[in-house]
Parts: sequence; structure tokens; C-alpha cells
Amino acid sequence: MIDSLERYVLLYDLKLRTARRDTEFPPLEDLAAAIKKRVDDGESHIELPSYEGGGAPWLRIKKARIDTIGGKKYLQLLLSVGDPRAANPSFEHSETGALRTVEKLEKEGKAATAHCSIALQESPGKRHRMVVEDIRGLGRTRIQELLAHELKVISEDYGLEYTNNSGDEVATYIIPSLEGHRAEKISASLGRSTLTGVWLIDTKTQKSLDEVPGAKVARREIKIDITDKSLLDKIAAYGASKNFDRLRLVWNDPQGAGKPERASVDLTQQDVQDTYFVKQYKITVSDPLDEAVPELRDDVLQAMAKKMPS
Amino acid sequence: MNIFRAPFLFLMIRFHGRWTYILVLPLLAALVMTGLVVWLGDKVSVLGPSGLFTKLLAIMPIAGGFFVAALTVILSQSNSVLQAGFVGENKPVLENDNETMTRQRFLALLFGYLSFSSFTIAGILAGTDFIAPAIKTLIDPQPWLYIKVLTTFGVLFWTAQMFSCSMIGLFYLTDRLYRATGVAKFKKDLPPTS
Repeated sequence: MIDSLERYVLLYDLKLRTARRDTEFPPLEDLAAAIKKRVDDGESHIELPSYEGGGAPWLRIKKARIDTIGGKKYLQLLLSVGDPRAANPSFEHSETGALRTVEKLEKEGKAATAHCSIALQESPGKRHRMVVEDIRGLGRTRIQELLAHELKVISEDYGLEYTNNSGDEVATYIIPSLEGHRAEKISASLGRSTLTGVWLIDTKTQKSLDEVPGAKVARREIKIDITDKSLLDKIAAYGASKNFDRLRLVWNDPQGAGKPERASVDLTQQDVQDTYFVKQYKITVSDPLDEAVPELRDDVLQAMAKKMPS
Repeated sequence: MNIFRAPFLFLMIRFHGRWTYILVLPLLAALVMTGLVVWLGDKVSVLGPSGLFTKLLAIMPIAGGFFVAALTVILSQSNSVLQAGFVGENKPVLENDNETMTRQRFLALLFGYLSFSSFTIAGILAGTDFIAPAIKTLIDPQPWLYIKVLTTFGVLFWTAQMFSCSMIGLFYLTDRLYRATGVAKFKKDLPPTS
């Protein structure tokens, strides 16, 4: 359950590029006003693919504003997810045990919001530092999808174009990608931590399930217990040789935020120990924070700004 | 002093592969070629009418003429592609310089350095060829050998660097300048930031 006074935040780098690589385009600082306008006009939402049996969840940027904190400019976003299939929330009386369930009305979905702070100052590589509340249902993929939609619509609405080698004006659009901020390598954090879980995952398995005609294996995953962290590289090499493409790690870092650290390493491209993981921090607020809020909370944004990497 | 500093501005530009092109490759080439000259010993001559320096001296003024011509063409063109800035993550940057680093400026600094290098090397070669036989009679054979090897290495390093930098210039003239600037712009005005 989400705590009302404590939240975890994740550090990302928002990397921007156009559909045509090596093309320069206006800075995020210029685009921020266009994003804000779309949010103010209530246009900033997307519908996700619907579940079997009806009811499609949606993502929305509820609020947006451009702030200056400590002399630096930030685009502050309040992201929300609405899920019509989610169970109704219930509350239980501590003494009587009586339950009070809040039922969803028509067209309503269970909501959660996440504050998101994006530094408008550009870091090398067209990157922008970004801190996001870690909320279930508003993970990296969904946030990326929402931002990609916004930037594509803005690119189309305002006519983003470049001149190609033949001298023709060609439309293009801005594509965002969220990468874990390069705060710390797995090896550094693991060195002082207890490794609690290692998984090898094959996400592209082509194996069929011979015993059940018509069924096929969509994902192959094995959990491995190890006591010696130095075996990780050998496990990664074993996984790669057996067509596993990802290695998932969970570990408890005594210097961490109080929640297990997690990382998923692409075995085809990355070295396990050398990979940076998405760093998480805990922030606390004095006034209780609901699961979903209608407005950006200044105390949350201030606390997040303190965790913003330089 | 800016007059004497200007030809060397190209060496101060930070760009992708800078040390490879202006130091590592020329150094390797010079080491190999000097090693070859030392190894061949008396079979090849460095000085004299058929020596290495005379051969290089024949090429340098021609190369210098080409570089000056290229410099003139680059500076007299009003091509928008030439006057555009660089795009991408590894843009050439000249530190402590307030001018925009356009493709035209980059090429002007490059060909300026190449022109300076070719004429200076020609001067050094001519001077060495003229004075070296006299110096040879004044000093012992062992120090003479060191001076000869060091001078040969220096000249070959600078010549190899000139060749390496010429390849950068040719790359831009034959490939990069044909390409569009790679700058995407919005046709309509974005809302004001304030």
C-alpha cells in the first residue's frame, strides 16, 4: 500500500531525439510551454489498450507548470493513471472491523498520481535530469508512452520539419526515452549489499508447449540462489549461452532508500557489474498525501528537487 | 600577437577524434617512417638532391597552393550549408571564443593551419637542406646522427599531421557539405515560455 507520508522517487534521464537521428531541434525549455498549454486545455491524455472483457485504462497529465527552484527551471508534471478494472478501495474500522467500500461510478477508474519533475537545463547528450514518484501503474514504460504522445502531437501541431539532403522539407517528431540516471553502478551498490534474488529471463523464447497443442511458451524464467556475489558474471555468461536475454537482480543496500534495489540487465548488450541502475530515494512530506491528488503539491516538488542530480 | 596565434587556432578546437587525427596517427606514421629511414641507413639519403627533404620540398608549395585556393573558395562562398553551425553531440568547440563555430569557420581554420604548415615545412626543408651540410662538418658523427634522426622525425610528424588534417578537410568538402544542416524547426510559433 502507498504510504501517505513517505514516497519513493526514481532518478531518470529524459533523452530526446527526433525520428531522424542527428537532427537538432528546439530545446525542451521551448517545448515546455506547449506541453503546459495542452495540459491546461485538458488535451493531454491517452487511452491504453483495453483489457479482455472491456475497460481500457488511461494516462493523463493532470497539471503542468514551469517552476524555478534554487535558480534552476523545472517542468513540473502531475501524471495520473485511471483504471476502470481495478478493485474498489475499501477501509476497515480498527475496532468494529466494519468495511466501507467506495464504489466507482460510471466512467470512473481507480486513480493514482505521480509527481514528475524534469530539469529544463540540458545536460550533455540532449538529456534532462528527471525525478518521478515511484507509483505502481505509472512506471517507466507508461510515462515514456505518455510523453512520446505529447511530443509527437506537439511536433505535428506546430509543424516540426527539417530540410533533407535533396532540399525538401520533411516532417519529423521528437521521441523521448527514459534511461536510468547514471548515478551508481550495480557493482558499487552490490559490494555493500545482500543479494536476495537473481533471475535469468528469456523474453523471446520460441519454444512450443508440445503437451498442450495450441499453447506456446511466452517467457522463460529461472530463479537462482547464490551466496557468492562474484558468481554473477558466470551466471550472466551461462544465461547468454542458453539464450536468456535478461538478468534481473534484487538486493538490499544498507545505504539505500529502505526498499530493495532492482535492476534488469540486458545480457546481449551490457556487462552486469558495469551497468548503472535506476537509483531510488525516499522523500517524506508533513501533510498526508493521497493516492491521487488533483493539484501539484509544492512540498513534494521541493523534496524531489533536493534529490535532483546536477 | 593574434597574427602569430591565428594559424594555430585549429589545433585548439575540441572535436571528436581530435587527438587521434592531430597526434596519435601522425605520431605512429612518423615513428614508422623514421624507423625505416634509420633502418635503411646509408641506402637512403635524407639530404641532397635525391634526398627525402628535397622530395618533400617539391610537394609542399603545391600543397600550400591548393590549401590557399581551398581557403579562398571556402571564405568566398555564401552557401547556407557552409554557413550553418554544427549539429550533434560532438560539435567542434573553440574555447574562450565568442564566434559561432560554423562549418565555414571550422574549414577556414583548418585550411589556414594547413597553408601555414605547408609553407613553414617548405621553409624548414629548404633551410635544413641548405645549412645541414655545413653543420655536418662541424660536429661529431654521433651527435649529428641524433640531430638528423630528430629533425627527420619532426618533419615527418608534421607532414603526416598535415596529411591527416587534409583528410578531415577533404571529408568535409566531399561528404559533409553535401548533407543538409540537420536542424529541425517548428513552422508555427510555440507558446511563450513565461
